[in-house]
Amino acid sequence: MFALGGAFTVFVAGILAWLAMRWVGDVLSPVASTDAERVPFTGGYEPAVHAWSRYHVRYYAMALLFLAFDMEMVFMYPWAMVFMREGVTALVEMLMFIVILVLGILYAWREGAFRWA
Amino acid sequence: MKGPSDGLSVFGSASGFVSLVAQTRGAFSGTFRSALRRLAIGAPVRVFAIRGVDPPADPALLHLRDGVIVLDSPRSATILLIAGSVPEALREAVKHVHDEMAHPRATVRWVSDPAEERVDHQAQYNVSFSDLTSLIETLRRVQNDLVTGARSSEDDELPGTTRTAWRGVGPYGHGGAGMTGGTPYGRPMAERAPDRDALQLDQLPLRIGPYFMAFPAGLVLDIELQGDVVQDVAVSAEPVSPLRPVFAAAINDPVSVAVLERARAEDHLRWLAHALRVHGLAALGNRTLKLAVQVDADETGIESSVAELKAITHDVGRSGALWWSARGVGLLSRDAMAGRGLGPTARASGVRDDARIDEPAYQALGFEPIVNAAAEVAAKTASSDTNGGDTSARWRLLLAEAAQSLDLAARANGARAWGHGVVECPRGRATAREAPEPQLYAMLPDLLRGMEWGDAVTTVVSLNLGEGGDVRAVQPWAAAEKVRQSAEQAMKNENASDMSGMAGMTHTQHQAE
Amino acid sequence: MTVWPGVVIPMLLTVVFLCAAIYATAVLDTILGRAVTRGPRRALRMQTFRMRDVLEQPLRTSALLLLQQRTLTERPDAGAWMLAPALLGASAATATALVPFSARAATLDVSSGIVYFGAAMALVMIAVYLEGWSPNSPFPLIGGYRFVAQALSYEMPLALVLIAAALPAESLAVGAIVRSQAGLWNVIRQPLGLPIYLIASIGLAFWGPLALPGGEDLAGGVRAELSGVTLLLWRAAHLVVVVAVSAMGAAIFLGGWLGPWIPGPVWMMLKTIALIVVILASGHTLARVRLEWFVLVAWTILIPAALVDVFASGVLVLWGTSRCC
Repeated sequence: MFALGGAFTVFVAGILAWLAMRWVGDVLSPVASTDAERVPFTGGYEPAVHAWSRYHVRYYAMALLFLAFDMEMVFMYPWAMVFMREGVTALVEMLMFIVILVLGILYAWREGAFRWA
Repeated sequence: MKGPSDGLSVFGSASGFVSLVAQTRGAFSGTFRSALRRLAIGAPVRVFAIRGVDPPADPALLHLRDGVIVLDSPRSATILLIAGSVPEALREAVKHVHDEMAHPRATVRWVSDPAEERVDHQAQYNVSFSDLTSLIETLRRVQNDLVTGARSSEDDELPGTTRTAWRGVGPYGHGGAGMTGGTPYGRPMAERAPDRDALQLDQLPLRIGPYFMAFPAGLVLDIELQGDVVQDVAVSAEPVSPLRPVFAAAINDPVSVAVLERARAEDHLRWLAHALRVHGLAALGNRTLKLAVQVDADETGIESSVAELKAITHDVGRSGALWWSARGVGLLSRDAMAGRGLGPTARASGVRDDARIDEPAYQALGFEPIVNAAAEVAAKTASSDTNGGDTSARWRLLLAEAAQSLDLAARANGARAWGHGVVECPRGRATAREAPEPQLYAMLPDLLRGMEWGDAVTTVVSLNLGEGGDVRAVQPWAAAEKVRQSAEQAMKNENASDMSGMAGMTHTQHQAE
Repeated sequence: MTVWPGVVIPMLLTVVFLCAAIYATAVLDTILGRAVTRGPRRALRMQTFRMRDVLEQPLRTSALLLLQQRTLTERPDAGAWMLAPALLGASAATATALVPFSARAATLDVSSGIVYFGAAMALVMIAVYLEGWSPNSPFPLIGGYRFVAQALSYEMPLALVLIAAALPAESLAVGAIVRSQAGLWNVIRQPLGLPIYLIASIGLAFWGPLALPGGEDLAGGVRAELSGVTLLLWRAAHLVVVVAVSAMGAAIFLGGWLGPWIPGPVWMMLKTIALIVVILASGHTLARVRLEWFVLVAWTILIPAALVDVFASGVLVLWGTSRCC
């Protein structure tokens, strides 16, 4: 029961530690940037537009495939725990599940989801 | 209701507490800061190196020294090292790079002769050493002075802002107008453009400037980037890389073949070291650079250099650089390269083009140019996939030619060659009036169009374009001008519609009365 | 509930361990880089390394970076930029805390340790993406998006080989997986596991051949706009990720604290250092991959290999209990 709180505590403590260090750095070397100092580095000229944009994420098809496999991963976690108890049944059923998903990879490969430039 | 006269209230009153915290903080940061300063005094010097015209030595040699870190980005650099003098066309860019550095910062100019300094830059350090050790001593001293406060950090080179007023203008304080709420810092947002997946997505016009570490110094590319794919490329500034002195001399007078071939091997190795560094193999690149320096100095003899080159070739082959980084990237077809005197780039594409074939001194040594055999065969069978040389072939050729040059240098025995107006320099065939690079720059736009950005960098790095430094002129940036005009037009339209809205309102008000 | 032994001491130990580990990793990286530069014949002569300089260098550079100003860019996402290194460091610290260092000592003794590890993995992806998005600058932006593609590709093989290791242990807890290796280490009875784990964890730590978000072809990429304390914090967080994946790998594949003659925690430390050295060495000897090539290889070679690993381990486990064949 403490374990869940423990992980969260470690996580929050880590974030606070990093933020505290940042605060220490700001106390030691105060930040004050003029406009000329704020120009993003692209090699020596000012940019024409802000970098924030609707970036074309060309691997979106691969990301959809990843969603499917992520759900498979979620199913495999409890499967791993009861596997030895359930025996061959567990093995065969998961094998069938995986084969269907692997067919998905083959389809995506053929359709060029892994090729985008 | 405690007043300040109450004995305990100096800690109880809020202002007293705040000032106590501030005093503790000040004391803490003061002692801590002085301790940090003592610790930071021996730190490796963080340098952003700019290569200009006629540097006393190659600034890339700083990579071999342990006390100096040469960085990719000026942000975290302490010292801006300007090797040589900056050409007139690139002064603005140097000022931008200088201002992007974090405080504390300083500039060190490394020139051949301080009296030659032509820049109207308020330089505080002008050093003219030709040996690296003295330069590194100076760099270390400057950084230590900055750290201890003995030297104050340099001010900005450029004025605050020359852009049209945007602060506080408009309903959100971002310059008003436009669908995106304004133009913070005077910059609009990106506009859409058609893309290959039949979508209309944002396209970033970017100017990748003269001091991008992977490119030769002075190369300015105006690209249109959609996602991470380069949709359009224009070369706005072509750097001029001078020939090495031995090759320049060889155009007019016969030169010893041994000296020439050693210089060729050294040039190939330097270029390979740069390519390896760009691809994440900094340690192997430094090893190659050390070999290049050794070949140039010619102190330890050719045999150890040959053995070391073989070891490096083996390690480069095992590193995957020739496989997963470079296979299939930047294919230059055989027909595009034929008959243009483009040196190793052409030979890697299967073209048997080398001015050394016709030189009697080389014929006597049994010279046979190394040509990418696979590309030759593929051209004969008209296969479009390997009809040419990719980046992997070019690198393999650089390594093979370096080994061949060392072998020729060992066997040359005082032979002399050239002197009749043309020379095969490491980048191609050069005459007194013509260098090989401009043809490659002319090919860049078609070559890079449609490539992913990483592949585009790999391709540019694999072409022998020289180290750069001098630039004749920088073309104006058409895309930025177009963006600025369309943003102004949008602001005008919005103001105009505001006006008509207000007119309508007063009209109805008048009617209501 | 007693606070001191239960909470504070393990956390202090984790902090001390992490500080020592990232310092040691930085020093090892410098030494390995110099060894590769010198070439094999001269590399083994230790006096050429000038050990005193090498040991002092991380401390001096950290001091210099603390005294350097943190630069800003035009219109950054200030909140996200502040949180990104913290998120990276905290996720990696949590992942390290999940690894038990001996049969009795574990900062976090959770019954589903490898699921938490998967969660920390996902947060790493978000942290690097935020570091790329926040400065509103082209090179970090491209680096951030590249890392998302890389992350989506290595996550599946990483999770699958960990699940394969959980099969003989009948539990998702890291401690149970270590105890299940009392007879034979997983690196031997699941031979595909450690190589796939190393490739995926080099991707998770975006080091060396998979340093795509911070590559030289992007002028430092995600790190291009960092300076001063933010650069120091980012590099520290990066090193913590390397330590975290090495510690987890040592526990899951190399038998954790199990081993004769010397105490468990020392074994654990040695095995973690061994994996750290492997990861650092890959950075100095292998070139950076192309993203498209890596995505293709991860989906068409690594995932099928990891699936073979899972099912082969399953068959082996059942054979051992005579429930099949």
